[in-house]
Amino acid sequence: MFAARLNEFVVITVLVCALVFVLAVILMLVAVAYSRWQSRKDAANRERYLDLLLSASEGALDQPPSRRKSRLELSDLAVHLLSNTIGEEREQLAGWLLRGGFDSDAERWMSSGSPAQRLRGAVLLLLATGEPAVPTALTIAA
Amino acid sequence: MARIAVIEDDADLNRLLCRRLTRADYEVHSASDGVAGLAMMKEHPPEIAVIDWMMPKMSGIELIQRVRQDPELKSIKILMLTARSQEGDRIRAFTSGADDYLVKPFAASDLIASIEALERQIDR
Repeated sequence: MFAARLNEFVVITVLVCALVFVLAVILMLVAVAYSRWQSRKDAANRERYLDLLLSASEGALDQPPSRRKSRLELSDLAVHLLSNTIGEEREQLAGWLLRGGFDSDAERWMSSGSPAQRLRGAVLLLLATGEPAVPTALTIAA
Repeated sequence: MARIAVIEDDADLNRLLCRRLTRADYEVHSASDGVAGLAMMKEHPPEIAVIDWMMPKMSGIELIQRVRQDPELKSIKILMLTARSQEGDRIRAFTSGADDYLVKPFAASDLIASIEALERQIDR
């Protein structure tokens, strides 16, 4: 009787452990697949935004995205391009950003509680509008 | 039009350079570090190379020195594109074998003008 109970206990324990292990493996596979999908999606978005910004710097009048997350990602890329270029194409890109309302976004980000967000806003505003943005940036920063 | 190798580790700037040069009708190949750049140039020898200074695996300076030591690549015209703007940096780039030097931030028009000047040197 005791031996039968013990056997039953061992079998159930092994089954439970196996089930937990299988579930853990499935969860891990799902997490890896999700992370890869997310990376691919992020890379594809970055490519799309970079194309949009490069076209804007060449004078194209495409509409900027309206979703908040997209605008954040696009503004990070824009800061990178603005800080590495000068000349006519940079001016066209800055103009496109201003027409697309990114100066308002930047001012809003500068009032955010997150230091990173405030920095993003200040840098974008200064790079896109240049010297005229300094008083605004200082007022908001104060 | 000349064949150009772009060797720049910043993926966004690499794309920007390729796009500007392709728009100007150049045939462009690109790599994202010095080692890959050297291999690419051996496979598709360009007439002109645009090389960043600070890159992983092999710096732009080391890459230029390797190019100048390679009998098959040594005639390539090299434009160094870098954020380093000190006088000493320019001198080091030129003594290592660069033919021209462009500082970031740069204008696309400056880039194309430099490439055209290097093309004229090739034609001479």
